[in-house]
Amino acid sequence: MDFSIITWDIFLYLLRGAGTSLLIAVIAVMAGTVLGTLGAIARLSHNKFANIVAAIYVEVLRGTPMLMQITFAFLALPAIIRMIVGHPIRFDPLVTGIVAIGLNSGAYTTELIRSGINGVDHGQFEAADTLGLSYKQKMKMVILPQAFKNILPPLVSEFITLIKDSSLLSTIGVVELMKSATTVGANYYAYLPPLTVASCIYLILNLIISTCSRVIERRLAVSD
Amino acid sequence: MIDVKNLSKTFDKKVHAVKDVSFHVDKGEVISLIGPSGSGKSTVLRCINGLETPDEGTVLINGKALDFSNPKQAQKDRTVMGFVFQHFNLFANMTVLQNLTLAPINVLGKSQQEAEATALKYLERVGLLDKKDSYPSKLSGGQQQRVAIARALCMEPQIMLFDEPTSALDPEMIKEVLNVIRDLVNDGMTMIIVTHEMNFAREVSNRIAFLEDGTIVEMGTPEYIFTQSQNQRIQEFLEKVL
Repeated sequence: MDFSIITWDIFLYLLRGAGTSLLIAVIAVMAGTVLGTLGAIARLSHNKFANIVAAIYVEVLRGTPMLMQITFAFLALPAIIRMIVGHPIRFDPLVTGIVAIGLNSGAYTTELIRSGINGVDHGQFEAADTLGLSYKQKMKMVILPQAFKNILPPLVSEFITLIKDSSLLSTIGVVELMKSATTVGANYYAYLPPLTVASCIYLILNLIISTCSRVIERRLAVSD
Repeated sequence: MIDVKNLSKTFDKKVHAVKDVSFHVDKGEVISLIGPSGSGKSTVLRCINGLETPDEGTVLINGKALDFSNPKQAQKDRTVMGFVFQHFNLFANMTVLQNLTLAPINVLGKSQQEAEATALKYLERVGLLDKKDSYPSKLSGGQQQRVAIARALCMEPQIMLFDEPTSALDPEMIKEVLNVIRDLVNDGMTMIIVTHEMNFAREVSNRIAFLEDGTIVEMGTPEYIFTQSQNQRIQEFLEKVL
């Protein structure tokens, strides 16, 4: 066990990988939250079409492996695009990966937010109606804030899952934390030190996130 | 001011909640709907406000029929009526002041200052000025209901609808809420009150309707309903609750 190969430069290299992992997770969770909100509203709407589209979206993305979705987006989708536009198009691994993970997260978040909205007392909807608020105002100002508060803990879990799942993008050549660690390992013929350090970075990142979420939860509890 | 014509509403295609109910409310009149649980009182009130869509019949406000199939129009029509719920339904994610200013700002288009001035005026009227920055969960049931009444008043409604406003309250809090409603009666507000508080209904109402099985059995002055009516059902009901 020779940890001396983890020089300051190597450590910075791993940190840069961690930065990429974090970037992937942050963008994906934001995209997922937006998609999830739209998805949940579509799932709960009386519009049959919106309902079915959202249901298919959720089932397809929850029912296939994320690694398959990422690989499909990077390797199979370009072929489909080429068939349509007639010439090859290069997919950037990072962008493709973020889109794939964001779409996947959106499916899970749809169900999460749907349960959050269902958990809001029916009287809150009725009170908003009697005051003349429009559907959009009602959702934005009254219902969704309460729904998000209810689902904050599982939403944070989703974020943590995404930080870990961002490692799947190493398979399509994105140099995030996982890829950085295996690259260092391959260069020095020693995997134990870089993988250990990378694991610790994942762990520390996620501990910071769960701590932050507890602070936010306490703050939101003022209205309890 | 309010005309309810041949209102009918069925739930789940079988249970007749309301059957062919018609009545008229004049401006400044206070009407109480009384009767046993499940008699359709609340459903009538909820249809007037459009929380339920009646299967048949119409509701006219100032001679104009409510069209709740048109959401935009319904939103507009609604704002002439304030609605107070049995379970208060204050917005849990907002302070008292935010509860009171939300709709005036976003529906009536008032400025923040204007809305706050109105809110503080009504909060003072219900005696809860010191609670303006509290969250609903920190208030007692009676206080929440007074805030809910103030919230409805902030929309400057022409009509107030009360759906069992004291039924979810502990006995010691009923009085403070009834006092606020009594204050509105003295102001000449047009009101329909669904209530189990018989003495209060008798005191403040111009007319009382007794409902059973979704129909109005009789409607008349408090004096008539409480002392002169020969209807056996009404007599039995009053005997039980008084």
